Amino acid sequence: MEIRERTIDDLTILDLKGRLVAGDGDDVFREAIDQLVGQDRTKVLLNLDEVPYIDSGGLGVLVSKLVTLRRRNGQLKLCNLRPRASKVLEITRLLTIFETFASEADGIKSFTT
Amino acid sequence: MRLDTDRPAHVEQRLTAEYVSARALAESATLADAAVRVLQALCEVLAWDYGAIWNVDADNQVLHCVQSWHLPPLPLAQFDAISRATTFARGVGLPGRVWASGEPTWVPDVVADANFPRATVAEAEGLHGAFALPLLIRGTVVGVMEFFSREIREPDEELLRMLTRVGVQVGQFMERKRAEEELDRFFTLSIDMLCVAGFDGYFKRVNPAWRVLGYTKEELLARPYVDFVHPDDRTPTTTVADKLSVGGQVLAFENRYRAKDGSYRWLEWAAVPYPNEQRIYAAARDITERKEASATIARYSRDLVAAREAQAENASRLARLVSELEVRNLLNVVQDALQSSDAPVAIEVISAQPAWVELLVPCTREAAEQIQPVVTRLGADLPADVIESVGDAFRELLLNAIEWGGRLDPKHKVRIACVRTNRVLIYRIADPGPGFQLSALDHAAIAHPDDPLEHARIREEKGLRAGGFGLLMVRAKVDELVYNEKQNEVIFMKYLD
Repeated sequence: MEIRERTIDDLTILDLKGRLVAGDGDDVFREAIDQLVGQDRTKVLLNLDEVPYIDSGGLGVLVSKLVTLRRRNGQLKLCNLRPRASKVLEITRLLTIFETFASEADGIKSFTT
Repeated sequence: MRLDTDRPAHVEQRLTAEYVSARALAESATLADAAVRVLQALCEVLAWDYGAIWNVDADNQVLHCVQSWHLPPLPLAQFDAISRATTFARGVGLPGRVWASGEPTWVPDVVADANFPRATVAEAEGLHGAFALPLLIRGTVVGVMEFFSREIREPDEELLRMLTRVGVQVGQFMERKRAEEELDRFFTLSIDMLCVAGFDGYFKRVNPAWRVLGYTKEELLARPYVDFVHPDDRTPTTTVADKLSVGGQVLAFENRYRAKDGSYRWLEWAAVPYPNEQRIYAAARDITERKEASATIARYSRDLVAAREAQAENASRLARLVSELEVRNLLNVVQDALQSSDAPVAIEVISAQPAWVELLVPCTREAAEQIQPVVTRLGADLPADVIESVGDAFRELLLNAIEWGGRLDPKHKVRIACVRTNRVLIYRIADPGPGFQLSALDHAAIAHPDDPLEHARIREEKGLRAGGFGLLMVRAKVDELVYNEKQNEVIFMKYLD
C-alpha cells in the first residue's frame, strides 16, 4: 500500500492506494496514523478512492486507529469509498461508527463545521 | 391285326376304320397331327373323298375349320378354301347342325340340302353325299368331323354308330392333348426352371428356362444333375434327393448350380416325388439376385452397425478427450493461478476434476494470497458479484484456518476442496488445529452484535492483531456456513440460481 499525505490547516488527508488487508497495507497504515498521532495531528480524513478491497484485518486496523485517535480527541473520517469497501463497512455495522462522505470536499467541510 | 374273314366286307371295313383311327390317335404327338391322320385314315378306309374337322370357338360361338384332308389328285381346292374361310353359327350348315343337335347327321346329297351354304361350290367340285359327327368331351360338343363323297350316299346307321364311337375317342384325345399342350405351354413358358428328374440322378426333361445356366437341353440331360451342383452343396442335395426317393416332399431347398461360364446361380427348389414312376417333378427359381440383394443388405446392415459403433466409439473418445481436456485445462488454470505469484509456494493439487478440486496449502499468508486467484479462475464464468462474495468469504476463512488452525506454520497444511454443480458452489476448508468454541470468540465482532468496537478493545487487551470481522463478513456473503463439531473444518455454500 502507498499512502500520500496532504494537510489543510490542522486536517490531514491521507490518500491510500492499494488493498487494505491483513499483512498487506495494515502495518503501513498503522504506522502512518501513529506518526500523525505523534505529531498531534489527530484530525484525519482517509481518501479511499484507490482502495479496491478491505478485509477483516484492514477493518480491524481502521477501527483500532479510530479508537486511538478518539482517545486523543481526534477524528478519523472516510471519503470516496468504493462500493465494495462500503459494502464491507455496512455488513460489519461499521458505518454506524465511521463518518463517511461521498466526496473529499464533503469530508473536508465536515471538519470545519 | 387279323381280320375275321367270315364277316361281311363293309363290317370289316368299319372295324378297320375304328382301328386305324384309334392307332392314329395313339401315335400322334399333337392334336393337329392326330386330326390329319384320323381324317386320312377314315377317308381311305371308308372311301370318302374329303374330310374336315371343325372346332368350336367358344368365345365367338362359331365353328372354324381347323384341319382337312382329301386325296391329292382330287380337284377340291375351292371347296377346301371356302370351308377354311367360312365360320358357321350353331345350327347353320352341316357342322352347325351337328353342333346344335349333338348327334351325327347324314345328308345324301348336300347339293339338294336346304341348309348347306357351301352347296354351290360342292356341286361345282362334284361333292354330294356327306355325314358329320360331333366330337364330344363329357357330352359337350367341342368340334365336328365331316366327310364328303363324290357319290350320293344313303344313310348307313351302322356306320354312324361306329363313327360316333370314333368321335368320342377323338374328343377324349382332344381333351387329353389339350391338357397336355396347355401343360407343355406352361412348361415352356414358365420363367421358373421346371424339370422332371429320374431316381437315377439324371434330368429327364427340362424347360427352356434352364437356358439361364447356358447349357443346351441335351447337355443338361447327359450328366447326373449333381455334377452341376456346387461342391459344397452336393451333400445336402443328395440328402434331399434321398428324402424325395422315399416319398418326402421338398419346399424351399436352396443350392447353387454351376453355369456354363463357371459362375454359380442360387436356386430355390420345390419338388414332389412320384415313386411309382421313379420320377421327381421339381421347380427351381433363380434367387441369385435375391441372395445377392440379401447379402448386400446384410453387408449394408453390418456396415451400418459398424458405423454406429464407430460413431459411438468416437463420441465416447471425444467425451473422454473433452473430459481430459477439461481436467488438463482445470489443472492448467489451477497451476497458472498458483504460479502467478512472484514467490510461489508448494501448494499440492490433490484433484483437478471439473467437479472436484482439492488442494493442500501450507499455513502461510503468502500461500493464502497465492491461492486466492484460483478461486477467481475456477468461477470465471460466474457473475462478478458471486465471484466477489465467494472470494471474500474464502479469503477470510482461509486466513482464519492458516492463522488460528495452522499457527502460520508452513509445515502445517490446510486442505481446501471445491465442489461445483449447476446449482451450488461449495468450499470446504479444513485446518490442522484443535478447533475452537464460538462462545470463546469474544475477540470477534460476531460475538458483540450491539457494539462494533467491543471486540476491538478485547483484542487490544489480549494483544491480538487488529481484525475480528471475518466471520461477520462471511455470514453476509455466503448462503450457508457450517462448521464441524470440532470447528476445525468449515463448509460454505453459494447458490448459483
